[in-house]
Amino acid sequence: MMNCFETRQEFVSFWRGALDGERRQNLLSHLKGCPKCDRAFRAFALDRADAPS
Amino acid sequence: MRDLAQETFIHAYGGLKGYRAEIPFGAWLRAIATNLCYDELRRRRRRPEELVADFSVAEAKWLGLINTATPEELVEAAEERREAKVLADKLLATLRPEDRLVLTLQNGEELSVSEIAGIVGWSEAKVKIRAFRARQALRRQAARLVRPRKAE
Repeated sequence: MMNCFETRQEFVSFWRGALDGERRQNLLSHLKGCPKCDRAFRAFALDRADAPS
Repeated sequence: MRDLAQETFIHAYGGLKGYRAEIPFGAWLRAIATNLCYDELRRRRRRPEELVADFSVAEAKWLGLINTATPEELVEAAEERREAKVLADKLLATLRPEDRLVLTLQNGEELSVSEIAGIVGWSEAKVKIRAFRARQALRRQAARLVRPRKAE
């Protein structure tokens, strides 16, 4: 199971679709169970919406 | 922000008679801008609901998604937005400059017909006709670009 720091380190790769199956699944599980990281991801997405991947 | 910059110059122009040469002009202009920013912040604090109206339809939709979609849906939606933007840019690039200008101002900047008329110096009727023809041309180009593949 990833911790919060590791999860947030993976945001960029996840956004670019560059995470492999297991890492991607770990990240999604963490986001599902961690409201703080979920909020952090949404803030990240808000910022990245128009940025080239 | 642009409105405040414009407002600053309007205030400065109106207050030129009161300008004293011993104060640097830039500092005087900055003081006007600062006061206007404070006024705007006070106004927004009183009426926060107006901030929502500042968002375009696309931005409001994206904000809605940010709050409700799953992380995977967000990534997918962002990708669709990027693809749509690339396609829109390609389509716009095929138009004549005047047509591109009208559509960009109308749909990109979300300006009204009268605002566009004021900017480009045309009558409102001409803006409407241009926009209508530009949309027709855009539709034709889109049909060519995204023509369904023939069965092999």
